[in-house]
Amino acid sequence: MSRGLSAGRAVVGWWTRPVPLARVAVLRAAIYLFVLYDIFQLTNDVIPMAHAPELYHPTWVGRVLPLPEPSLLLAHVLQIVIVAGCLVAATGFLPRIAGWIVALAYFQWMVFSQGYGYVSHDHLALMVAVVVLPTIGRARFTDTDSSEPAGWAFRCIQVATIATYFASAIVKWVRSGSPATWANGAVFIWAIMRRGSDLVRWTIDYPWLLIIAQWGLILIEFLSPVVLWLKGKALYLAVVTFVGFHLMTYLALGIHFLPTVICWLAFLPLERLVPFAQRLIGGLRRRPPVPSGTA
Amino acid sequence: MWRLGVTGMALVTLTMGQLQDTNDYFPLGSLSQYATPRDLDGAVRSVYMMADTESGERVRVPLNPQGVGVGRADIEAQLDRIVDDPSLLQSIADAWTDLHPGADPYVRLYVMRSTYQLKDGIQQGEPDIEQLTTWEVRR
Repeated sequence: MSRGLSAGRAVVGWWTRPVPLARVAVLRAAIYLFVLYDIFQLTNDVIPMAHAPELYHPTWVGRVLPLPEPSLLLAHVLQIVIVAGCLVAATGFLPRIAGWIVALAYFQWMVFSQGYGYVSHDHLALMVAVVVLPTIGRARFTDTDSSEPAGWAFRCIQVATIATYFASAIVKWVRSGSPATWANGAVFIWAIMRRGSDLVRWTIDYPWLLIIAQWGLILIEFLSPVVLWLKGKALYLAVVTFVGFHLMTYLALGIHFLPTVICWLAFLPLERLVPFAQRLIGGLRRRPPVPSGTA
Repeated sequence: MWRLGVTGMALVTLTMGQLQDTNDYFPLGSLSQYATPRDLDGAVRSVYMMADTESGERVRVPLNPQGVGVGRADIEAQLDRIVDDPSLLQSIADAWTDLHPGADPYVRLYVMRSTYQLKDGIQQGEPDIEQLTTWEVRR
């Protein structure tokens, strides 16, 4: 019984390991500013697609909840709400109210964006981040405390980030019958023939090379949960490996997965940026104005 | 405590999404990007759309946010629905004129598919081109 209890305590402790509030402040600014980039650059199809409402075919959430049909007016209203909400929430002002407004509006935006047949797979961690950040509450760049609620939110973002890879390995297994069938197949050839850049087109003449790359990918996807327990240099190396993978798929296929990449920040000691930024700002303030004409 | 409850429910949904291999539980659906295995002796198919314009040209329909809004992957995901009911394509012609008011309007749309054959992972010759369906645009 007591063994069960201590195991339970260990699990709870792992999910709520305290995180510095200054780290929260930095990640929050990064996530909310990224959401703005997302709605104007990545999921900006919501506005043009509102011109083709007959093709709207929402996923389960959109069918079960009494959500509105897409329209140009609603799309523009959502855009304004998300911009205002993100700008406020990024500063850390009204973290709960602004955060929840962003979460609701952004969810509706994404249900529209993903409601025309194709569902993209790079938004899992970002959507989790937008939902869990408002639960943390106040956190300033200059705070020195840590918080358990922040620990839970960060753990959720980390697990969602890792799930993006681990679950994709599981689906490959489910669809192919065995991981080897997938890895020994022609997926990369298929992808490069359909949308490969000039940088990688030459590789389709060397199928064995792409098969080795497929084995490498499925291997790091299956091993990805290990990252949740890495520390220090090993952790940084893992982050560089996964982010480097996205850089390669971007150069090769034009697929960047930036909404997942931004969530890798939740693994890093972001609070160390604060004194750095303070010195930078302080230095700029102390420096006397340089008269023009002298160099 | 509610935190762990919510976490558990989300993880169960996410797991079900993978095992049932469905995108329908978005954002907790399957992470099926490039999960479908491809045969080294199989075929590589690619769907695209062409259009006849009012001035008599045959052009490629830009299936992207800057073009008609709807993307190629959207058309591929809804291909059966579109082939069963080509009138759905009307909205693509409408989106084109709405989004590019000065541009040459579409008078007929074609959903096309190119198929390359592979052998041992190497492309064999030129692709087969099929027309899957067509739609005369209503004004």
